[in-house]
Amino acid sequence: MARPVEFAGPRRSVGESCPSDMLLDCLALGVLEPAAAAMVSGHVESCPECRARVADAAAERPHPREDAIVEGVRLRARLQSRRRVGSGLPAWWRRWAWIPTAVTAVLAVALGGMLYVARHDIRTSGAGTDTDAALGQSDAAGGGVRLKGATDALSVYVKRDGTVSRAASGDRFLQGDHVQFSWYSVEPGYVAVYGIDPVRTTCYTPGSGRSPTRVEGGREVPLQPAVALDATAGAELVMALFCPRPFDVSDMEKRLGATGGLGAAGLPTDCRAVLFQMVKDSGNGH
Amino acid sequence: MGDGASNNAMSGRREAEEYRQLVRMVLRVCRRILGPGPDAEDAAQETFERHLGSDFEGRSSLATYLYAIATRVCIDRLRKIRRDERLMRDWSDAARMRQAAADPRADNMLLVARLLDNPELGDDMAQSAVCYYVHGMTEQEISDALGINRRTVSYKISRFVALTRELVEDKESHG
Repeated sequence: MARPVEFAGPRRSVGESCPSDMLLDCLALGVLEPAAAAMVSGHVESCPECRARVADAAAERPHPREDAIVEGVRLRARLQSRRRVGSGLPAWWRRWAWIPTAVTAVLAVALGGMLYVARHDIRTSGAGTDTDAALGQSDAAGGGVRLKGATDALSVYVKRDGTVSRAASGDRFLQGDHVQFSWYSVEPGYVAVYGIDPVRTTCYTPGSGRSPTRVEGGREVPLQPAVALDATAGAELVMALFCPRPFDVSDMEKRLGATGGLGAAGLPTDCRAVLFQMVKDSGNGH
Repeated sequence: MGDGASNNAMSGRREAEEYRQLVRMVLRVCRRILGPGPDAEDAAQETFERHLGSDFEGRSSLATYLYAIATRVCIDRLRKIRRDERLMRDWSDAARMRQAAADPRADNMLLVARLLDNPELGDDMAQSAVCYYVHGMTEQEISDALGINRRTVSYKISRFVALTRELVEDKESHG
């Protein structure tokens, strides 16, 4: 590392009278008090370097992992909200209107630093026939919205009053709804789907004590059995765990239950998870 | 879809957009310290994991708090990188490329990285130094973000500068 003969020490990355990166971020987020915002804005207008900093931040292109991190943060924040309800939320929570204070419970799971979320558009089968027919109408790639770079997809179909529709993450479900999961991945492997809420963790498919479902790559595979939802209201995180090798379904169920959602250290490094948020309503949902 | 479902969808989109702004901010913070690449992305992810697992009491704004956590996460990650010779070499090479492009942050991060072995460079000092020299925060902002006394921040930054001088002098004296 080249150094001048007289090393005066490190130099700051911004001018002495310039606002910090943090202040500029706060300005962009709109969370500065009006007087501070006016001062910072005024400086930016008169300082070419700061104008360039602001312009660079505004011109950033979306990052490929951004969607995954955003969804994970949202889901996890809802879980935290649910845990705090009843204990009195401090005032600063209410200032952040985007942090929901409603009772929901979901978890974010980071796997090897990657978090996958499958989001699916609501689409009705139209035919009102059984789930298999609905699956037959899905596109070969499993439908829904995939993140850039992510190819796994968990699809969730709901049968209610004789009609089958594809659900979106965050949709409301009713007691008695029949839910069918299906899985798509490019490569073959093994899948299990778990439901996680603050009270318990359940293996929806293939069920506790069974082996994970073997899936071939390149086509959507329905996961059996279909699930009839019980009366427990509230939000639940559904997690589809995909691994290239068989794994112990019950052991994973216990680990998820014990930690309330595993961090990167908890899941096998070669496994991936896809998350889906299910909100179970005790009243009328859709 | 009824009105209720439409409102839910809209508020869901608004919420996602608000989270997205915070995620982008944290990604920027992490890239400033670790450079672009998977380390910064992993650090951003971990920042939110730590925040949402913490008892944030609102002493400072959420953005300030995330800055503090992200900086700490990145420093911890840099410590891990240092323990792996190959990773450290890759990281240093990338930082030097940014340094060559006159990115002052890279300059400063190389100094921090080299001092991580120094037992005097504790977490508070490392965080204060990064916040001051890389994020351009004032001592008061650092005090608010890290929850430490402003005088302590000032002292830690002074000691950091002294350590960098010792580091450079030591290198020069050994050729």
